[in-house]
Amino acid sequence: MKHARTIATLLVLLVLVALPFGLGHYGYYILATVMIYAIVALSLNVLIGMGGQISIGHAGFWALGAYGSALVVIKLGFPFLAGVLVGGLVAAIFGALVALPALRVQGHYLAIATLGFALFVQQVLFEWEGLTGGRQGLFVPRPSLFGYELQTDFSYYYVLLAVFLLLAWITGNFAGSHTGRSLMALKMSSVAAECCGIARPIHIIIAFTISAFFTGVSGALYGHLLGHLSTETFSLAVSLSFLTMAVIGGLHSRAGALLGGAYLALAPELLREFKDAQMVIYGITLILCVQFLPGGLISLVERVWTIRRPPRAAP
Amino acid sequence: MLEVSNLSARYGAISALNGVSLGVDSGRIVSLLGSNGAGKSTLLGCITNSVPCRMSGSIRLEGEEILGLPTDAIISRGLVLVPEGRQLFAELTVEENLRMGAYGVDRGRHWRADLDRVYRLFPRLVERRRQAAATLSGGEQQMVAIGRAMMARPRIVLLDEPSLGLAPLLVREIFNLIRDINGQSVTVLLVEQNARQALRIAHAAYVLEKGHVTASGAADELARDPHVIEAYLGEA
Repeated sequence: MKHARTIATLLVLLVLVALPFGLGHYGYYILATVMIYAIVALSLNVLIGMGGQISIGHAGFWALGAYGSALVVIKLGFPFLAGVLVGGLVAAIFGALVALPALRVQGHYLAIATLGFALFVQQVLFEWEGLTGGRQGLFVPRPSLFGYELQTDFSYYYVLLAVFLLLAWITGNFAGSHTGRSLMALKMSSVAAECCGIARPIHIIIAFTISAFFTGVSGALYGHLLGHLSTETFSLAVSLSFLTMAVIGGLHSRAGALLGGAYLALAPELLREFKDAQMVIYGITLILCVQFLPGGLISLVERVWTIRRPPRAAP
Repeated sequence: MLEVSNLSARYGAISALNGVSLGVDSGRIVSLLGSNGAGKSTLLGCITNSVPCRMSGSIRLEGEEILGLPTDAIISRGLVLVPEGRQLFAELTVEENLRMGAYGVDRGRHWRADLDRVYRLFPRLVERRRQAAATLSGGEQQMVAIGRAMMARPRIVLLDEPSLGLAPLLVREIFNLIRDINGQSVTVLLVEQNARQALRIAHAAYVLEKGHVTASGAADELARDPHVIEAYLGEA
């Protein structure tokens, strides 16, 4: 069983590495966005899947990461990777702050609080013209590694893949750690967990901080991919589509995060013919998923997987 | 062991406790009686700092002020709550629930020995160890809840309505078990509506009415108090 899982993981890796070959520039770009979205889905895996906290404000963290990185690269001459790290850290600080209302309110109220946060970030970035360029936006240099500019999205895709794998590895370790398990216990029953001596506040803050960090990193990477930032990129609709993709991909699986990212990046391409009906299709997909596949698309894969395998003999 | 003095608590404008004072001596079972809304659960919530109310006064655990300390810090000082309605991890097994009791305290270093101790106290849980907690009867769930608290190596256990929703025979059994854990030198503060059973096993008791302590004393004395008889024991 363990071997089967390792082999499956290696196969997925192989496919991910081989994927860009034969695609054109546009294909590279789409693949790059798959990775960028998958990182956000990973961050929602931590926040919602493990922590049971809701956020419809992740576009705010995404924006903070994007602008944070772009600004330190442009104005302070930071190298690309350092900029991405700064972007993640800026978002993480705000993540810890957004966790504070989460200590008091839950569910719909928390959703509204995070929504307010995202709108606030978007508005401040828009109005702060001196720093962000306001309406004109901001031109962001191409990513570069150790002095070499990554000219094409083909090479950038591999950087993004590496970042995704690193963050997925961190997520896996976090899930198995004392802190991660405490968080999941709080999600199952916060009263029961608190009776077992698990402190709720610090774990909620950690969940938001990690989640915001991941999303900030993703935003930073996205800014360098786009080459130009404007605040319209970070609208409420983006927060909602993040949530949608994370649910559709699967909130309890790193492979599910990858599927979610692929869904968000590819669906608009595949459904372009449908024009305005696209939103209807997204909505129906989400409803079907919540109704019949609460574990997301990845649970479908897992289901097929278990059917294919002969049942284990009873011990 | 536990000394609550002049404790007041309010939820916004609504006052739940008014200058409550009570003491629980080491090694004792002390019952807190009172009807719905008297403030019993609020009092336990204040002691464990797990309710969102504003508190004033003093709560001392072995002389140390614990009012306002975070819940986990209070638990690691040896004061553990068995909450109203059991509050188990429904989808986890009995054994996993028990192990969780040790999880937050010392990262479960002594869990194996403690688990054996709990199984000796509640032999019935041994056969149920691999079963999901949600599938147990109310009485067994209550045993798991008490067992989980014991896993944290408490010096004092606060029990909130352990008889809630149990059949009379089981109520008796649970109260006998409470006496057993008290026999393991664990002090007990027992909040109950079932005054008869509570007074049967308690050494001392307090009566809480509308946020005030209105009577207190040795359990057998209170059991003869005409007011207590009329209000809580239902005899003329």
